[in-house]
Amino acid sequence: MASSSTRSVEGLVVGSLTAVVLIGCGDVDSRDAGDGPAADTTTETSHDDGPPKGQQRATSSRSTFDFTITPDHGSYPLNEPFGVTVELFDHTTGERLTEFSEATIDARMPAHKHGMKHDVELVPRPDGTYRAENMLFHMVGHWEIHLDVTRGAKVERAQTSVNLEF
Amino acid sequence: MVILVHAALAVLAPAVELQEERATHLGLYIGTIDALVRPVAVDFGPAGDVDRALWVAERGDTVTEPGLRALDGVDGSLGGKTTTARTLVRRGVGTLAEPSGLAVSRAGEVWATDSALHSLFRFTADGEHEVVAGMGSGAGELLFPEGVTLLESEDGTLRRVAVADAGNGRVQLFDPGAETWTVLDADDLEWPSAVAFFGDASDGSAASRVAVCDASRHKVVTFALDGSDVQTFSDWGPFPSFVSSPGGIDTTDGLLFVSDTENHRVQAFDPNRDGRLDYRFGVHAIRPGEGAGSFHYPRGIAIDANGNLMALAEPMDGRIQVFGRAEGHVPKEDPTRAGLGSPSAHLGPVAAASGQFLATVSPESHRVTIHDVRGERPVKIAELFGFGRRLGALRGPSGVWLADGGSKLIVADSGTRRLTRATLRVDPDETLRQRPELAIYEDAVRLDALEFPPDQRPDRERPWVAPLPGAVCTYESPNGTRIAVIDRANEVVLLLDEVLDPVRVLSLGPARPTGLVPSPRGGLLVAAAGRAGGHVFEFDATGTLLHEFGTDVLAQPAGLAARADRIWVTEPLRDRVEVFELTDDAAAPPEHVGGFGGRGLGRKRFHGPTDACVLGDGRLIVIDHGNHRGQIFTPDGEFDAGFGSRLYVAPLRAEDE
Repeated sequence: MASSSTRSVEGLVVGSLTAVVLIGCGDVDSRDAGDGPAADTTTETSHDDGPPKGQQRATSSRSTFDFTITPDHGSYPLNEPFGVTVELFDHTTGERLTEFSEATIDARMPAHKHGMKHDVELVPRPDGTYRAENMLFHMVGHWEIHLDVTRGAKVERAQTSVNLEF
Repeated sequence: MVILVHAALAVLAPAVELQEERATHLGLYIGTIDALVRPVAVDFGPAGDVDRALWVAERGDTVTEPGLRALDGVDGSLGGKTTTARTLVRRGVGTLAEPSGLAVSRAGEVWATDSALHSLFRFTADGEHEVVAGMGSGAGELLFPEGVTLLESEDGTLRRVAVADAGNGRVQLFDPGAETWTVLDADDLEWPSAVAFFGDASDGSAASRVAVCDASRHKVVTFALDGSDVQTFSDWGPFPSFVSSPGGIDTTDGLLFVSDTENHRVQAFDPNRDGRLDYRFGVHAIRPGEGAGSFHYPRGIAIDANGNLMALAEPMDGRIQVFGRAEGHVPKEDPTRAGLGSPSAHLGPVAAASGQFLATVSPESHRVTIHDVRGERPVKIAELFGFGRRLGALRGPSGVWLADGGSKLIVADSGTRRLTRATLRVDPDETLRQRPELAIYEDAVRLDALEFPPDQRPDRERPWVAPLPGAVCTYESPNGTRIAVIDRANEVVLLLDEVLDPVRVLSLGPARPTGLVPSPRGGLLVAAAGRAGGHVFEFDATGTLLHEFGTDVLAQPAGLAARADRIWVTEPLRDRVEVFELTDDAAAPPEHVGGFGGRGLGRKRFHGPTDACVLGDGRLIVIDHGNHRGQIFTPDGEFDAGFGSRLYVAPLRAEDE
């Protein structure tokens, strides 16, 4: 089960929304520049033959796995529940990651020291992908999306980020 | 407190009726017993010819040995004064190493736990003693035991002994008649710190339940004697009804009185109304030594058999505050001492520096504070981590390390038994400002899930148990960077490689490791405390022991700092920092060249200095934990500046005026 803050924020008005999608690569060396999320790179992915619109891909901190995350409808809404589809890959072979004991998803706003208003669970599907339902970004600003994979005694993170703006 | 069956019957009435009947409440300050040496636990009970003495477990210092002490005259005659009390008898001196819990029977038997010896002792009224339980994780074995309490029948028969088996995350009940143990690990207890028996008004049974403070989860858990019917209340936080690392519990009036250690207060909960807060008293002592109802990390709590006296132990201030009854169901509100606020962000006990950053730990808020040290004084720019279990959260930060110019952060967490690594975004040209997004949390490893080869474990009689991390650092070995972390449970240093796999165990003999730092000569320096005094062990880069030094100077060292030619060792019990210098002879151990300190608030005066680190410009920072501040010294050893709590830094600045 992923964890998140239960702090409540009310009164947000959903206005016209721009979601700037950012990717946080797990390669430590590539993270050190700049103050935003390391290796943050804007991706506008809506090619016919390319990945689905809004899909992000990131490598874990120790470069042992990659993940993709695709929000329903291709973007992250403000203050409305949404679902995401997640795929996990072995970073070396590129094949689906199968050798792990737990994978969790969470999203947080580090500048505000809180996360989403409730926990979400990453549920495996028969086709090898995972679904997380009822995610909620209830504030504008910089959200980090954390994908943590536990293998034995170790847990390793890959993360992406999203800037939600009016 | 000893629960008597007939006394417990008094709590069988519905809670509402109890409130109406109760014309007084417990919480009126009536005096302070001082001149004690780190008192951690208390209980009322007979001692010799005195029917109601106050027994206290003292951790001791370099002058006073740890042990148990029975005090006379602790009653309403204190008259609001601070005084010493006459010692009636001592127990366990020379036997106990780190007493942590205490309970006294009506017959005068004293039961005491020891968190360093991982044992439960029984002292008879004539002074004989036996070890009832020793170290381990099986039934009838203990690991870092803390609170202990007794359940007696009206005829004085001892029915059960409950022990907060903190290191094993459980409570154990000992039946002295059958000599059997019952293990209770209800509701995923993490670090049970205190226990109390109490009655259950709902089913008419007397003293049929156990209440447990969980200091790691910041909750109070109650359950029946067989472990069933678990109820949990409270959570972490500073607000009324919330608790922070509760360290003591006792009962009277049908209420559970919880020593809310890191919120510096006592809260009275009603277990028969879902743990609703009935009332609270006590506020955080702001000024050094402030008391008379103001608290500073209160811990053990005891209420006498009549419910008329309460004693509260405060180890850091070497005192016990005593409370009696006052008019009214609850205390009168005092708007000037509301006792609200944010979590107290005390400085330390551990710290590390590298590049432009200084990292200090704030256990109360479960955060690591990052300071920018490019200027004269450290400036706080980020608070990392927070309370929780996910990656990037902590339950009990116990070690911190910065490396690679401040870009690599490692934090040890005794609550989750985990090491967490994070990258900090370093920019030497960065304008000084708040940087809430400074860290990327990368990975973590659970030390209790790693397999360290049995042939590397120390050859001792004591069993190998789940590691409990303390101080942490990195150093370079011929085979790459090593992460060294103190394992407080097995009293060794664990070495991990860069992918967090176990590499080796460094044994220190019978000494208990307390701090570590890379050696200026390569390798590792480890401070350790033993029964006979303190040591620093120097290992080379391959893990071979080179030297053991400081034995004739150190008592119970805590933290270490080192730079090219010099090593500093903090001594919390002596309020000193000892200084060693490396000689030209690389094969010789460092030499002791002096030290500084003493108890106080002025410059080079400390209250329990727990750690030290060296900034990039060569200045030394000493974490003056008990004084809620840090002191900075120039490379020449002169006082330079202070930082931390304003009231405690003021005396440092006053010397300029």
